[in-house]
Amino acid sequence: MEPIFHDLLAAGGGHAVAFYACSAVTIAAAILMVMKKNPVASVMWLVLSFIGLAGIYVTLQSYFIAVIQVLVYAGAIMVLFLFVIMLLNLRREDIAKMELPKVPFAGVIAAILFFVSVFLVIKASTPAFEKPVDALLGEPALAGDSVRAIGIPLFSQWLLPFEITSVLLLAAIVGAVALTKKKL
Amino acid sequence: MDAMNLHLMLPEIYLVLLGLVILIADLYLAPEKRFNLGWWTAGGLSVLAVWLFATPTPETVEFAGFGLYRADGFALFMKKVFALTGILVAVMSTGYLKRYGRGPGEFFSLVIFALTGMFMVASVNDFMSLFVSLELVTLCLFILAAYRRHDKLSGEAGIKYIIVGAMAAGLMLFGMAFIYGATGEVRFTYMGADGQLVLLSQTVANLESGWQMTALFGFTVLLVGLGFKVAAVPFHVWVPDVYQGAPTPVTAFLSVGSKAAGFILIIRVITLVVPTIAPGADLALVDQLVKLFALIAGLTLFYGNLAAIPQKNLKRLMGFSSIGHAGYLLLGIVAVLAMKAAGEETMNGVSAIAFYLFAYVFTNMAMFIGMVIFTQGSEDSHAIDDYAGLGKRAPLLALCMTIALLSLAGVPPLAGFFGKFYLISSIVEAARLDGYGWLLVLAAAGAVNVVISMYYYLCVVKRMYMLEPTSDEPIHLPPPAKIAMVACIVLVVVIGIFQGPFVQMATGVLATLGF
Amino acid sequence: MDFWIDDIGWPFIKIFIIANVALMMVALLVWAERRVAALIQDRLGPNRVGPLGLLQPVADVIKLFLKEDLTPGHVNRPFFIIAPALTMMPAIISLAVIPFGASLIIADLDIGILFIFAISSLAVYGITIGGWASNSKYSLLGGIRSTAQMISYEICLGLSVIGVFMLSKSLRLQDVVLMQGDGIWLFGEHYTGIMGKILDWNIFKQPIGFILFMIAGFAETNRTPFDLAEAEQELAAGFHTEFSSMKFALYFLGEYAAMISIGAITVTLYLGGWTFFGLENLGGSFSWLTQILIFAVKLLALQFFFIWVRWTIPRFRYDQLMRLGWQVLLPIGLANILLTGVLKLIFKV
Repeated sequence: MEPIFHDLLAAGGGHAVAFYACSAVTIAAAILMVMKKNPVASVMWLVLSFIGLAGIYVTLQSYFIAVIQVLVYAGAIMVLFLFVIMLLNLRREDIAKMELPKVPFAGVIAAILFFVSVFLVIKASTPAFEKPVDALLGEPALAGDSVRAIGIPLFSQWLLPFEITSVLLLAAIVGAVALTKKKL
Repeated sequence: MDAMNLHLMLPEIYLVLLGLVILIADLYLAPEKRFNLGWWTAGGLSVLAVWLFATPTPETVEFAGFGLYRADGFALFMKKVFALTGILVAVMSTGYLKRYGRGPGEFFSLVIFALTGMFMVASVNDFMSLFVSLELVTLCLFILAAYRRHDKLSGEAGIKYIIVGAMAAGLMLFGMAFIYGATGEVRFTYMGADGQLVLLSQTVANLESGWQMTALFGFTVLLVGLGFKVAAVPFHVWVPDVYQGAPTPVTAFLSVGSKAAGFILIIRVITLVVPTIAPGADLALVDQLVKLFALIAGLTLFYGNLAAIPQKNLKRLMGFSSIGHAGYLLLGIVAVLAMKAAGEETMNGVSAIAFYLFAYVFTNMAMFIGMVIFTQGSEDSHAIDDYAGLGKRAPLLALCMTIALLSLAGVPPLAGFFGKFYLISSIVEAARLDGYGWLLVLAAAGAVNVVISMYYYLCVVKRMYMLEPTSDEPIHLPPPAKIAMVACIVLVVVIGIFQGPFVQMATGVLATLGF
Repeated sequence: MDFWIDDIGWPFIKIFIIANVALMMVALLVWAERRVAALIQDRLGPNRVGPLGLLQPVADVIKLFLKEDLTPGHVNRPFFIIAPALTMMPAIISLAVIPFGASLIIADLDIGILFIFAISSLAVYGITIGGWASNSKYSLLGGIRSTAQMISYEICLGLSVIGVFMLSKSLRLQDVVLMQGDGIWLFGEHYTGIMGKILDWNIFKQPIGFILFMIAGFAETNRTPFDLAEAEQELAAGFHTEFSSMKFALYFLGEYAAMISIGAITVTLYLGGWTFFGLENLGGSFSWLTQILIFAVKLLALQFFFIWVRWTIPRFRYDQLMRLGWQVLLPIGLANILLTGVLKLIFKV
């Protein structure tokens, strides 16, 4: 991080201006977020703050992180916040009763697909397992290909936390249903 | 180091699959049969327990998941503890849930996912896996604590647990960020540039003093976060309310599983990340950590045991008693830290903690199974006064609960006594080191607290035997729960009398704590 | 100085051109919508202002500008004013990463599609905030409906394109375009015959993904059959009931701008972008003009399809919409990813 930051400021001019502008937006919006009494206004300032943060990432040339910042925080989480805040004043609508699809055929197809894919994955990836991770990481990343630079370590060296996170999310979904559904 | 080594992770994979099976089976079973999922869970976990007990203790540390997962003796031992906990929780939940009548599939799959998290916690070798595993445990337990969704106390328990958990998680993350900033590494054991395995503690020891300070600040914050998990004073405030409000089987799970997970992580961080100070080296920081932990341990001991005395509700009493037990376990941590500060790699504190946790599982579980049987799966009669005359109404139940209480208090020759004995002796051993004579005060505090705890545990026993019953209603002992409870009690006695194999098992974990 | 010319000057010129072309297309689309609707309903439609009525949008805009800009007293003013702009912005910003020709692209980002998703995920704020700030129950209901709808279908939209990127191995949209139409790879062989080239378009390689993307695209743009947010009968035009004059016009035009951006993405991802089996190289140094024309023809054909659907298919009920999104499209989207992976390994594409 340090050299990039240094280069950025050394390059002077526009990049530094952009960096400081984004920082100013981020901080000012964050302060306004805290100071606003109206929760909806707070949410909107927080969104602006996130977008400013994404701008900082852009000036640091981490486009992937910048986009994920907007997509996940500004685009998904904050929409949920806004949604909840707006809904708090409203009567809850009954959730349509869900029926379990009773299609054994679909289950069979799913099982076949699952086993085929497991088989193929195992078959295709055996050499990769024998390959040292450092070699995978050392593969020349395409110039400026930040997706590859994040994707390959995420699915090799850091696969384990990623997989635990998937169990975590499953547990969260189960929990959300278990805590909110009227009849289980 | 750089291989997936899936075969080492089979227990975790098995657990995830078991959870999924339960979740899916729940959809296709008839409503009245869904409560049998508890037996499926107990059965599945029993298979796992047999498998783990049949696994020989590894003689060297093996790594899986590209070096993020360590399979060593300590991990194996703790996984045995967790598997047994899981079985007992499943057995006591089955009847409980049938009475409550809500969502068995979700309940048991969450129990299994929490166990998965605990298994991962036992084997973590890096901060990222540590964080997500611990969050998996916390999240599942939060949902389980709030599972009685129409019960205000249960909701309160859930909310308090998740808020405190979120704060602890934030602190831990903050601490981890400092350690990462100082060392540039999140793995506890990793391949150095020269192809040799390196412990993070060696890296920390070789840092410049400023960075070392940063790293040790990180540890302190991280350990504060973990302090919330193990309910050490002053991070304990959530315990009584959560223990009281959560469904009783979940309280049992919390009191054993969550606490053990917290202690595993403290041990991992201390053995793998905190540097051992070479004699004569000028680093007072580890010494400061010893003092900090000694203070926390002392406060936790006294607070837990003194505050338990005026309690009127047995679940709440168990909450305070669990704080007290965290205090005892912290004695082992202090011993290990003191050894590190004096440049010694003796880890007797760890084996004492392992033995204590093993004994604590059966003792505590017997107690909670007894409570579930007594309340017949409701949450109405947890007042200690309700237990009056239990000796006449249900002699077996009263006997089992009495033995469990005596073991919790630390009466020889029960398992609880020897657990406390080993912890205090590890402290005494550490007190022999130069400059750590004052640890004897802590050992004395431990002994004093045995007496204090004896008082409030015996108050419960007194009500069971000395007072007349307030109700003549017979207490039905469902066979599975009864068998599980009696088995626990037998083990409590057996562990106390024939300690040899169990002590051996607990000291077996020491060989592979480092590399 | 290079910085100011290369990083500020040229991009600004490109942005100016593309944004204005897009707005012109919006106007054209408004006219097209009315004419096609008339065609489908066997009427004439607007045909008086200019040749074929082509100047009708100009007249409309003048009318909207001259109308009184009424801000009701009960609204939350700052949000009420900013909301229409929030709807229009994302649709136009999305065009920044769309390749209209071999070199006609404002920002050739390596994360192209993610950028589009990130920006379009912000579009929901315009409608939500507009509905909330209007302080009227119809508007609020419309806003909430639309939020729920857009969140639900965004997931489907995201899942449906993953297959494309599994095939192209790059998120850069220019790479996706270049990968299509140069002949299909099967079992390690490269078929460059005309059939091979046609089948190399992602619409044939990812048919399920394409259909999902189109359905989710309709939902994202709030077009019929997913226009519940502004259901006239139930909600009195929903979130924009209280808006008038140019504020209303921004909402109105924002919808068409979103249609153009979704259409442009579809053309790029599934229909070969600015390429057409070698035709794109015609014209020597003016080939960029050919490329734009190819792109425009594909885009307009797609827009015609959008309009056609609107005037043919009735509106969904709200629960049907949600069920379709979560219980039908989402599982199909997931299955499509799995299927793509399996087929990719089998056919060695």
